[in-house]
Amino acid sequence: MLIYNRSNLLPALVSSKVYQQLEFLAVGSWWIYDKTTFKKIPSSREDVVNDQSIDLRAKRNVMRFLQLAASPESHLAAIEEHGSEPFPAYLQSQFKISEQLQVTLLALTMSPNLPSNTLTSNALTNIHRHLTSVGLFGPGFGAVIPKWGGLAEVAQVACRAGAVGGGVYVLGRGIENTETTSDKEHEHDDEDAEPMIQIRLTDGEKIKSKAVGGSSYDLPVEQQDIAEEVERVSRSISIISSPLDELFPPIAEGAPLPAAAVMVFPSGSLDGGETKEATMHAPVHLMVHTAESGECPAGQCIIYGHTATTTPSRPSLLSFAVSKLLESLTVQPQAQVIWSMQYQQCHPPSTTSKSPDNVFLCQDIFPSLVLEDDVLRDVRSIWESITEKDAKPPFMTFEDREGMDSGEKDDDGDEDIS
Amino acid sequence: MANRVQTGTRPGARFAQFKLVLLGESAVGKSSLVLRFVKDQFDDYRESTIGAAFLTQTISLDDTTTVKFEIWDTAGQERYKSLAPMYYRNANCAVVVYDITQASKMKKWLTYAQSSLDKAKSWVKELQRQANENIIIALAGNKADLVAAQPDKRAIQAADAEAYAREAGLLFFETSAKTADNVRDLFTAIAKKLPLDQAGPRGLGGRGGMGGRMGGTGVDLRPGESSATQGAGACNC
Ligand SMILES: Nc1nc2c(ncn2[C@@H]2O[C@H](COP(=O)(O)OP(=O)(O)OP(=O)(O)O)[C@@H](O)[C@H]2O)c(=O)[nH]1
Ligand SMILES: [Mg+2]
Repeated sequence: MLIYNRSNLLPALVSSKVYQQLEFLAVGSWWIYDKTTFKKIPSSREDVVNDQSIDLRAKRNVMRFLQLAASPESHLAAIEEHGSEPFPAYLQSQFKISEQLQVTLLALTMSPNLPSNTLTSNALTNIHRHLTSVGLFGPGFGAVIPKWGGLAEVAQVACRAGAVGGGVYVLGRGIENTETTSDKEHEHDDEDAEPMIQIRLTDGEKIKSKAVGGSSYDLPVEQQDIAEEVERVSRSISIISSPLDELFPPIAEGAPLPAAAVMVFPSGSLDGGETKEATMHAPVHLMVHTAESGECPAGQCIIYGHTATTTPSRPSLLSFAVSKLLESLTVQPQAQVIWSMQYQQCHPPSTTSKSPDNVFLCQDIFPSLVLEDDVLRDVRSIWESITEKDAKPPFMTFEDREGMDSGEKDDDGDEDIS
Repeated sequence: MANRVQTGTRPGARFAQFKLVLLGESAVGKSSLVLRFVKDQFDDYRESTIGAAFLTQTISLDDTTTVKFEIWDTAGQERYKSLAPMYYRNANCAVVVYDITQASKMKKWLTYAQSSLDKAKSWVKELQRQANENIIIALAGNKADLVAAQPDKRAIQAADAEAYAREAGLLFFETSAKTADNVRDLFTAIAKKLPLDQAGPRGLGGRGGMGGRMGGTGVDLRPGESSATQGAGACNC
């Protein structure tokens, strides 16, 4: 998953101080597949202007669209007016942008859907995020990935911070059930007694808490019969025998070295440009990470494949895409897949099932390509509900928790040595 | 694996930052060693660590080389054992501690009785199997002061531990957090063994005007405190 620089997660990592334990690497170029080769998507206005393959008139139209998409007000106004239209139709009717250039702009939306299912509201929101993310943390790049294996690293670091702060971890046990104690007798003892939740763990142990939070995997929630509506995503992981350096040109003067590249196969492009939506495959995305990510040995690279599963499903689509990528490169001898795996991920539609007071259910994270802001927004609303009765501490703002004893500051005065 | 090496302001100056984790049975003196190293203090009645503690300490190897340790002091009690991977993941170096006066915490007649050195050996094994490939491990036999005062208190012979350390490729020291004996030497020896020069041009490249902690190829998430940023609206299409 990539994280746009504008993501709400990044400031939260800074204010909570855990960013000090994390490392982020820059995502470099976006590439788009066309017939048999990949074309780099221009990464700046100058690149668009200098692109010989776009004629002058088309260029003006594209620039006009990009200006609108980058503007905080105009893009919202456009969403208001055209949000529910399919994005390609919107580009055609409002900007006279040709089909070929529509495909390029669709790639920037990171939409996993067929073009006609990609709504202008989502597309404009995502392109706006893409454009306004560039330059936030250095020239030329708009997204990052966590080093050492993705977002799990963020969870690890949060757990470490929690442990240092005195959090207690109980591993290998789940929640069997929760029950809000409502016996009135106790309330006589203490007028202000808050209702407590009784939690029975899977090993039978009982604990009490003021609040409980978790996803539908952690909490005992009633599952409706949802088999029909489940959305499926096919994913793959492939380790490649070569670092594929040609996918990682320098981003810009003074920018960090790129550690990831985004390869987009537009809908139908793997079938030689199939245009009938009924039989077209959805876009296929391959995220290529360098060994710098810590996810594979030096001298190799690792490719994460992602595509929404269409019906009829095509299990070999991702490995086909990987082989097309390797064929398109000039590296000699041709790079090989050393190891690979594939799997499908299911995502039940979000439930609106009501949970008892002080039991907070997080929405399941959709297995998408980009970390969406609603993940942390969800956490924030739970945080606010739980801290409501307290002094309402600002969200995710912590002091450095360094030292042997809680509360003690370790002042070794060694910051900023360089 | 020096994940954060950068050139300093002085020509030729080097600053590197490494993650260090301490492992070992409860009460062998992990926290005491850290407290000695970081604050030069000792406490006769330390409380057993809960979860973990995090500290930093910087040492100069020579006029131009500064090494900063980010230290994760783990809790040795058995019930925290499953948390350990959280701390040794991505660690560049580890200090595995045992107590040289402690043959076994359990009664000797129990056949499964383990000395704190046996426990240390099992940590070493786990690190070598699961931690960073190039992790530098030091073995520390702590509480040497007790043996200096009363030689019959020794339960583990230095020669045995040293032979084991050599075989397993570890640094080895007998230390005392109480008298500070060998504590600094231990951390200095680790710093000297860390691959300061391995960052190479890739590790040092493109660091522009970034200050502070980040090094390598990382992205600085606090742009306000580093180089000027391009405003929003910069185009990347
Ligand atoms: N005499 C002597 N006592 C020591 C030394 N190091 C630690 N101790 C004592 O041993 C006891 C345990 O030390 P800690 O540093 O808390 O041990 P620990 O390994 O951190 O233990 P956990 O946090 O439970 O894993 C304390 O009472 C210390 O004072 C030493 O070098 N010499
Ligand atoms: Mg301790």
